[in-house]
Amino acid sequence: MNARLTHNIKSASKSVLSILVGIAIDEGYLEGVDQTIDEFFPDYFESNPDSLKEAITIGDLLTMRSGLASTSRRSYGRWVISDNWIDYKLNQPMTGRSGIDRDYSTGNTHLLSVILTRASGMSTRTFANRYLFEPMDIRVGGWDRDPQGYYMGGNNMALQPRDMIKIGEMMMNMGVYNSEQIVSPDWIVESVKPVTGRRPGVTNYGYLWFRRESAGFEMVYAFGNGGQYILIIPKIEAIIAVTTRIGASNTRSYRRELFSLFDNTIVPGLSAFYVSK
Amino acid sequence: MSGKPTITGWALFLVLLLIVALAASAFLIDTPIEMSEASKRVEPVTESPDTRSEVRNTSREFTRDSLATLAGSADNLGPISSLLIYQEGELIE
Repeated sequence: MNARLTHNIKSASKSVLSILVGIAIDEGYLEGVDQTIDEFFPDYFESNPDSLKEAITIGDLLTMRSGLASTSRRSYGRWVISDNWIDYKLNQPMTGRSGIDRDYSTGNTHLLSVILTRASGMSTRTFANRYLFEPMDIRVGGWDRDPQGYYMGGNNMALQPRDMIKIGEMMMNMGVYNSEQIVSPDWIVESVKPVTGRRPGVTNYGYLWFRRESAGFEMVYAFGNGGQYILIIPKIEAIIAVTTRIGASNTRSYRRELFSLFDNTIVPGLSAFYVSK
Repeated sequence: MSGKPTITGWALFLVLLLIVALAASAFLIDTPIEMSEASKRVEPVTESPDTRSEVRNTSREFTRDSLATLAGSADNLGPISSLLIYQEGELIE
């Protein structure tokens, strides 16, 4: 068991970023989810005016509905080898409608990290340490930065599995950890409310948090490529943290096996104990 | 003449009423005793929360043990490098 070794949680860090955005709103660094992104990228939009892109909101980025073409999946490599991740993302064509069409993209969450840095005047890592990690005694391992030095928003952050549990615990306790209100309960409620989904008709994604049902219980979870998970099942006061060796498995069948383990063994076991009280 | 038998009748009635009242009170006093004895007999049943909690603990141990075993051996579950399970304020390990 490697509970005290830091592990790259990949895109599960998007959910951590969601918490940081909530804190930034609570602390007054950001106005709210309806705030548009134009004011955070004045130089870019001065040279590249675009009313559609300027009207993208923080909420659109949080729900993967910026409308900008994705820089994930097949486009990920080209994006991360570019000289400027911010400009590269903002240069993407509008392939969807802001606030309507969902297209998963780490470029969206990276813009959120840049916005956090510019709004707070401190790096995303310093901000996270001050408002989230230090109050919860969480130590971050590695955390990638872009060529301009901005901490990557939504990928390549390393946490200890025990600290992943703490994140889940704080979420489950409506933003409270060790009697300290880390983020407002309103944000917790809003951020896990499913507003969109991967396919039409499927609504399982809130502000960078996924939702699903496991063994009859509602589950809120953070997911990172290859099998990095923080799973929260509030009804039975349970949290599961899973890390998978990077590169060991990115297959859908592995994901199915994991969910089968959760749905058929772990969650029923936890619920059996819980309901017997 | 007509008043005397009436007084005697009333006296008899009162005596009878007293007897009935005494008998009834004896019955009423006994009842709680019986209830209390009954509750003593039922005591093993009223102790059942302990029995239930024992079962609960057993089931808790069973569940926690099996989940802890699962969590502890997670390294053997293919590519999983760690599996932590937490419930109600404590890690299952």
